[in-house]
Amino acid sequence: MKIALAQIRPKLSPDNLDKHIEFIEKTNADLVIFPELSMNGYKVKDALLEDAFSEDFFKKLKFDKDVVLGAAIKDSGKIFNSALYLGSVFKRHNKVHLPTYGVFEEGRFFFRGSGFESFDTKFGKTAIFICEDVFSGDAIEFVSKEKPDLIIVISASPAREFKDGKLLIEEQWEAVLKNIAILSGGYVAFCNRVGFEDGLGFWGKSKVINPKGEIEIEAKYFDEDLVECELSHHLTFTQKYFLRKES
Amino acid sequence: MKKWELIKEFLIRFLKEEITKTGLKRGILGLSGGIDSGVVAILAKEALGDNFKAFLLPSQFSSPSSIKDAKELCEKFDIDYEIISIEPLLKAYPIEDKVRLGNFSARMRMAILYDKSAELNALVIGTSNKTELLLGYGTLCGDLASAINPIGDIYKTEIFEFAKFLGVPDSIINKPPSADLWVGQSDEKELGYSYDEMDPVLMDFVDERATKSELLKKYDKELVEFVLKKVYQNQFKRKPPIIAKLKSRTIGHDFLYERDIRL
Repeated sequence: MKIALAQIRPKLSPDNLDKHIEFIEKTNADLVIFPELSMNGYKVKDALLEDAFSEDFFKKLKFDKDVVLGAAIKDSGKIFNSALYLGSVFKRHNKVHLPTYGVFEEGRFFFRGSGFESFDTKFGKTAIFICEDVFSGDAIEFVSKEKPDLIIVISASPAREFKDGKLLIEEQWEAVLKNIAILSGGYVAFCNRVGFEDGLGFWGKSKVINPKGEIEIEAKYFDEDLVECELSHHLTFTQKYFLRKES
Repeated sequence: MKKWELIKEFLIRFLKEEITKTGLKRGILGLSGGIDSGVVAILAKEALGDNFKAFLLPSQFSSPSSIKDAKELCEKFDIDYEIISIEPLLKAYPIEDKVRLGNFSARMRMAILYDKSAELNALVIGTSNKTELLLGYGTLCGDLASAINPIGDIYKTEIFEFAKFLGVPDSIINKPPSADLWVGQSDEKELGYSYDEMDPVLMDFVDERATKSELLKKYDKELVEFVLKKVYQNQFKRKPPIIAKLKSRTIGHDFLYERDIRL
């Protein structure tokens, strides 16, 4: 089973479907993962009322493989920052933890999701998180209890605090992603966007972390990229066996 | 990758993407012969190649070394440039007061750059560093006017490190910083403190969120008060004009589109 991370540079506009199709057609992976708000761009702010999609728009889309993408979704008078799993199953996760500090203003514009859940896909037990979601005790608790085989994390993380060799924010992300890979005994697929919005630049470096907490594959800094990774059931099984304990 | 290399790669993409997404492909700037515009010119050349052009805009009061140093930089980095003297413009509207004349000179340069941007279908790239922006050490509608600024989050003392990394000629790096608006002008003499003194205070206050009482434990009282006063007094230079709110949705208040928004 192969997954692909489509590290794209969405426009700040609801006109990003062609870019998704272009990347989906470039790979023969079983699942293609796009970043947070990949259909809208990140700093939608006041344009959210006009730009948010309905869930039906995505139910009508047909691809020849499974796809995870990010979109603002209008639902019963609310707008969510959502991730959608499309293809063999249809699932929607609404972002639970909306960052509202520093450069982030999500709490002002989005409604928060009600929680995390896992669901079955061809990759086994699967869970989806959006960016800030994983910087929380409840996400860590959820993955260590549920032990999904595949944890999908989509994000729009802005670059800041440049250091020799790395960004501070990247080090922080790696610590959290490795943590949830180890605690779940599953693969973590992290897809972060690139490109600039009003001077805010997103750093990319999408990566797949294996159940031992090792980085298997990594995309480029700052540029669009497509990376593919074969997932090993054997490794997931072994790590979960080691993790066995009463939860 | 070293820190400045990573920043360089990031800023090259910033310039290229933020300019081309407007539908334009060219960028221009005013090259003074100083370190800030030198750093930006090197980044812009890397980002835009032949779609970047520098304008050298001397007056009769500019130091002769400014033009020489600016030309040296252009030759070293293969940057296309043009020299346009603002002397006739200054003579057409004579001003005695040197600060007023300095501000007027900066605004004449801005007027030329914005006209050139229309002629060449280009965006004007700004060259104000974080120290200048915070202290308000710049001319409103003059050198503070630009469409896009890659170095506005880099302090002056860091600009020196970045300039060395980028290969800015020593003649530019080693001369004392000056706005070069009148003969013998020096930033540090005019401000009363050196950048080495002011930058740590600004970094602690702005980036580390140190309180005034924490700053006073670490730095000279007069220096702290000078820096804080400048930061507060000049907030207006960092904001667009304020608009009186009358309706339910008002520009500058709650009409919150980013500049990069597209249909």
